[in-house]
Amino acid sequence: MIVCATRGGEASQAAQEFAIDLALESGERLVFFYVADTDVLSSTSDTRPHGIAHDLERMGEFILAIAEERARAAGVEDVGWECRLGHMRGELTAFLMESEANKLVLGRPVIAGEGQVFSQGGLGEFAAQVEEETGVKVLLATPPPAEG
Amino acid sequence: MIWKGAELRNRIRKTVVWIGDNRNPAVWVGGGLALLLFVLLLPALVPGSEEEPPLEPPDTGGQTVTLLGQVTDSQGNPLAETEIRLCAASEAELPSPAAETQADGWYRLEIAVPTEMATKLIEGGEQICLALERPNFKPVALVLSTESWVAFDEDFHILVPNTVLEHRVGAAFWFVTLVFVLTMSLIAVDRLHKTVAALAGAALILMVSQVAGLFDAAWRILDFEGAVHAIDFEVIFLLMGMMIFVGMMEGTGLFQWMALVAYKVARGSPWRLTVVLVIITAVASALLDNVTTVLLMTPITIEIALKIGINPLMILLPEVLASNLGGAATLVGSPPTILIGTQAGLGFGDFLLNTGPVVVVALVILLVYTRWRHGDEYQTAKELDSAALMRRLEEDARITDPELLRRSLVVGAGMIALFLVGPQLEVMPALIGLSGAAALLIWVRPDVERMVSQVDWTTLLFFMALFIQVGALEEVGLIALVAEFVGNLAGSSIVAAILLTLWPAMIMSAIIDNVPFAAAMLPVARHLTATVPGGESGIIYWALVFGACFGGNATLIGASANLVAAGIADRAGFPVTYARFLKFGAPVALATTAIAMLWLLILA
Repeated sequence: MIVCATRGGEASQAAQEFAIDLALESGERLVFFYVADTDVLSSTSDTRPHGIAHDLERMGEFILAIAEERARAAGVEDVGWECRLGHMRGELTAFLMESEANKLVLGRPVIAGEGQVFSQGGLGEFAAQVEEETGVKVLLATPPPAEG
Repeated sequence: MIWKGAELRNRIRKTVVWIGDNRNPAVWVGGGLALLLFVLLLPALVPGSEEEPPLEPPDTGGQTVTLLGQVTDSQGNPLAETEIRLCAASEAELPSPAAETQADGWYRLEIAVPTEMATKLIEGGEQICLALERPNFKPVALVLSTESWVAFDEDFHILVPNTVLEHRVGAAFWFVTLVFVLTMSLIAVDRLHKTVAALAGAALILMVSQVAGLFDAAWRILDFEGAVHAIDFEVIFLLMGMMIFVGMMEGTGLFQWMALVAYKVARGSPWRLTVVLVIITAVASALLDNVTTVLLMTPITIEIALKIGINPLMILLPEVLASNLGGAATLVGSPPTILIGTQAGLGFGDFLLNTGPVVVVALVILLVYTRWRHGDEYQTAKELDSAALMRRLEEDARITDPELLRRSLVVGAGMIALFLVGPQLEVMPALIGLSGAAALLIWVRPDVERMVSQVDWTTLLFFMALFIQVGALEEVGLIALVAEFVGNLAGSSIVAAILLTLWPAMIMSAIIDNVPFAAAMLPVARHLTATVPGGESGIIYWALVFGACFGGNATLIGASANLVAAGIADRAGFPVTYARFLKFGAPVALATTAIAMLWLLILA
């Protein structure tokens, strides 16, 4: 089974296409994976327990549903998705260990930013850590260079 | 019998030893009661410990002359607890009575003088000297003669001219200034949670004031009573009421449903969608707080943007800027408007009339700018034609609790109506906010504990600590110093006063939290309003509102709503960098502040 950790941005598009190609080649099941991280208020002083988790989860499911449609349109028949609440690193590792995944596809970030789950430097380190902990092979997809 | 000195101490010791040795409970109870009675009667037993009787004129066959006057600071604020003493009065030997000013700055000093002297005082030929002292102010010796009386009557009540005390820049001044600057710096660099920083600063000021004030009166900055007095509970209660109301609205699904309506109205056009969403967000932010509005609008906006095949930031960035602009349109739109409006006595209707038109024009500018900047990208959008995605979108954007929504809207409409007529009925906004929240809680009967947790106590605590710090700044004279400096720069020009308030407020709000800045600037605005000709219309306050609200659009850290939207967008895979936000937001902040300036100059 191929797991593609994805979001909706440019880097994720490249990862999705890479995973779709891989699934078409191998005929393996493809699962898109998203974690709704509710920690969006940590950068503000707002301490109210807003009901944001549900909204973020639905946003994640919508992103995953688009990815699934794209995969089906490309010809992948055995495709699904998994959306979880929590923190990306922990939830992804847990899902890989629970499932029968043997490959994980990650997209390289287009813009290095502190807020991103995987910064340029952190991605390689994370990939190595996941491989060691779960035995799942990690593949990194690089988006095409931006025009201009 | 009156016990004194060693005999009194001996009797107390004997009583305590007798009670301590006895193991009979009845004796304990009786002893306890006796001790209680003893403690209660102690003041009556100890000579001189009873409350001083009111000063009565000695029986000199003379007359009581009553001096009445008021003491203010250089901003015209009444000064309580100023000590007034009679320091000299010609050659006559008089008692030296003292008095203290009350909260309104007024004092009443009664002097017993021989009738002959009292007559001379009124008729001329006799002078009185008053010494006025207050920590952190320069002492004043006031020589009063007949020529300087404001008024007097035949009962020897004399109204003396108002006395203005000037601040003294001493160690306490530098200490409080340092604490405030440190607090602001810690908040700006995000080294400490803003509430913790403000609270620590307030506690430090109060502690130093209490301890060092015992040894040197110059360190008596703010006592506990003064600290409580410095907190504006009207602001706190209005914030609290609105937070409860918004907490209830959050669970209705209204925001998400409105976004779906926008999508349907736009009929697949990204530009039309942006226009409708910008308007919806601005209106929602004018009535509710910006963070909640953006928090609820952002996920559904991203879903819709992905559905119509456009980068969500093309819609999200104008939306979040609209939220900050909309927040300036009403009294309850944002924390700075609540703060400034409440303290300056500006009502909901005043905001609609004075800031509303500017906000409308600012939204037009925002849309024109967005169109100019992203017009090409709107053209390239390609909608995903998927029934499944559409069903999912409709499911995500449905009204989740129609009954709660209906009741919230009824109460919300009632609150707006009361906010509008409140000034005529002399009902303060805080009372309306609290009453609306209470009415909704009674009508809906939600889980009270959950609702109480919807109140952002951290922010309320921040406001309280901030009020204490600003109170200390006022006490030591920093605010007066800044006010005088700005006042001198402005001279008698209302235009200069507007510019000196608006632009610094805009720039500072882009860099630091606009709430502490607005809180510190409010007394300055009050001074300018009182002293600059033309300021009495309240125009300086509007300049502060525009600067504080519009400045937040310039940078990513300028407003909490910006950070929330960026955080959610990042989780959807569309990171908003500091530079990207600056490129989009700063021109809008500058242009909208310029429009506000024009409006204010027209009003002026």
